[in-house]
Amino acid sequence: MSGPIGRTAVVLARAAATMVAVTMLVFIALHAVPGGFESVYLGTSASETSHATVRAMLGLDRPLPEQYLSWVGGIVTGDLGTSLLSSRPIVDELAVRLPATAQLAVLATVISVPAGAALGIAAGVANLRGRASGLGRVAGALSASVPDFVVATVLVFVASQAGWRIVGASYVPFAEDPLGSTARMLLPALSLSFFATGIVARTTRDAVLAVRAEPFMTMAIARGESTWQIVRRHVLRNVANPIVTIGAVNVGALLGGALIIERVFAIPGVGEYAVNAVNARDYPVVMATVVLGAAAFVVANALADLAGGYIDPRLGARRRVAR
Amino acid sequence: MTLLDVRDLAVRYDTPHGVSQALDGASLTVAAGELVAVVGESGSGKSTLGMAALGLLPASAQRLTGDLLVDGESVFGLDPPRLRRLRRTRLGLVLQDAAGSLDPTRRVGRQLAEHLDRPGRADVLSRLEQVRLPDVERVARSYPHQLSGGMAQRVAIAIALARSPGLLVADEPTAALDTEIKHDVLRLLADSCRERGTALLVLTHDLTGIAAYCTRLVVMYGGRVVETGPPDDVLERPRHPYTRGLLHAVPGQETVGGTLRSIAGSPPVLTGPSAGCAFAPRCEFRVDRCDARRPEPSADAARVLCHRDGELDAVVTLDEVPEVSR
Repeated sequence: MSGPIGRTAVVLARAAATMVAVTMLVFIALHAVPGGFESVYLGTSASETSHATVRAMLGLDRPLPEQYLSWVGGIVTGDLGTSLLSSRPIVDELAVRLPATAQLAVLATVISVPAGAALGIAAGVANLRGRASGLGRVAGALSASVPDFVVATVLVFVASQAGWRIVGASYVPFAEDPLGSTARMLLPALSLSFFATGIVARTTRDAVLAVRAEPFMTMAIARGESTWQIVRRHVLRNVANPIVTIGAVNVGALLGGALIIERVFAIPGVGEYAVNAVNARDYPVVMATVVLGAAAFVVANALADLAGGYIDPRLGARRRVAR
Repeated sequence: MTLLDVRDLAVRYDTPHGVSQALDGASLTVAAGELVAVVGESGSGKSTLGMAALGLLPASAQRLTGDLLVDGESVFGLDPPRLRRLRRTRLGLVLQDAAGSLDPTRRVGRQLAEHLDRPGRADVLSRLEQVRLPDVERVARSYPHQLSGGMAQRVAIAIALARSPGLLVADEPTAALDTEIKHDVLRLLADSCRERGTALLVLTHDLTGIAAYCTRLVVMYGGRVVETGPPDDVLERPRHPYTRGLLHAVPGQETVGGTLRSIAGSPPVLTGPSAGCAFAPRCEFRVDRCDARRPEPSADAARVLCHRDGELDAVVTLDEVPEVSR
């Protein structure tokens, strides 16, 4: 497993294995739920015969392995199944909602990673210069412990008091009006990025302090490089990997947060779709959205793994060996 | 001309784990272009001395007395911009961990280039050739982890000497290298410094290994300089009992059938200024006044820090060590 190609293969294989495990777990979990898919249609008083009829109609009378394979086969070929509620292909329903959530998550990442990295580096450097970064720690703890919906509510309140008219405006798809859409998405994305920014900042700060202990940093100081030169030449690249990694891990948190943020800001996204599906016991939609969320997380982490090989040449060749 | 002037410097570390006195009144001068080896065990204070010369003492270090001057200016009195300027223009550093001394994420050619006045490709390659690296094209393209320890140390030396500093401090530069490579790297250090007129301050525990490459030996013990002089004098006519002990503890120096003697006891861990001679508890020649009074350096160039300097030659010579083997 040496060399960039071997490394890429390992990362992809790991991602694929994770996805197989996720689909199995989702399938087993939802098929083990008492009641069964058909009771969504039938209610509690239906006869055994009607149960059997609907089951046959939905293909639920086939053996479970067969059902699983046909479901996974559908996912691979781009067919996520059919909503029990609307009887429409889930793919079609997601096509409207996925862009909104993707836009929200991407915007939140675009805000949280640079902002968190800048805060973390500032805190780390201040710490190195012997200034206590108590403020940074308080801010970090605050960002990690205040729930998204509180942040969102406060932001909405402040923005509306300040007379920012975009607050009340309803969602506009990015494809129709990129600028207006992004402007309306700013507040939701800010609320969503609040938590992630704190996490990125803390990770970055710790990474800066760890890098500081390396001999090459002593050498840089001994060469008389300025703080800015040291940050630009040596710190940025050496803390980039932890930042990329935590950015990818945050995708999970952002998707979870999107459920709530989409509610607060009335964004017709996947989160809202998933919550509605759970409430209505629309099992195929629940399965599809869970798999989709897991896929986003797995892809983000695989990309972070691959990027790591380019950022740190030691990882590109082989796993880091302890020195 | 005096380049480095350490005057009775005392430095103490205050850490959560306790207090330790690393330097206890160390004095040393290094002239421009001089090749000086500071020899001592771990804990002798040599690293603290080296770091102090670059103004690199950690925040836990506290200067109690004395001063350290580079080019006649105290490094303790410089504000950060002027200290950076001094480091950039006049000082250089080489550490034991050669591979760790280089930024792992960047090609070594680039790392060298940013410290050259004319950071072109040709200059990078010629600098790498100057430190006697083979296949310089490949080395310049390499990342640090792709180089051997010896090659990485040569690159580190090239970077440290890029601006021809007045003083290069090398802290155990070869301790992590294979024996065969050790001498090549030490010779490279000495030759490169000689060519540039750069003074070299090598900090090492390897007394005999360094002797061939320096113009002066400085022996440190317990945070003080206990003896100094040209290598031949120190090796052939050591005057301080500790230096004598060190020479006896060197493998290969013993006569056939003789025993390799080590210095009994272990180096002191000082928590404050030593009341008397720091070596007294381990010294074979100790008398009462050794414990009671701090020794002052002898008036001659060797600056021997021993109460019994001059008396001992009458007592023993190097070949005729006392019977007591401890």
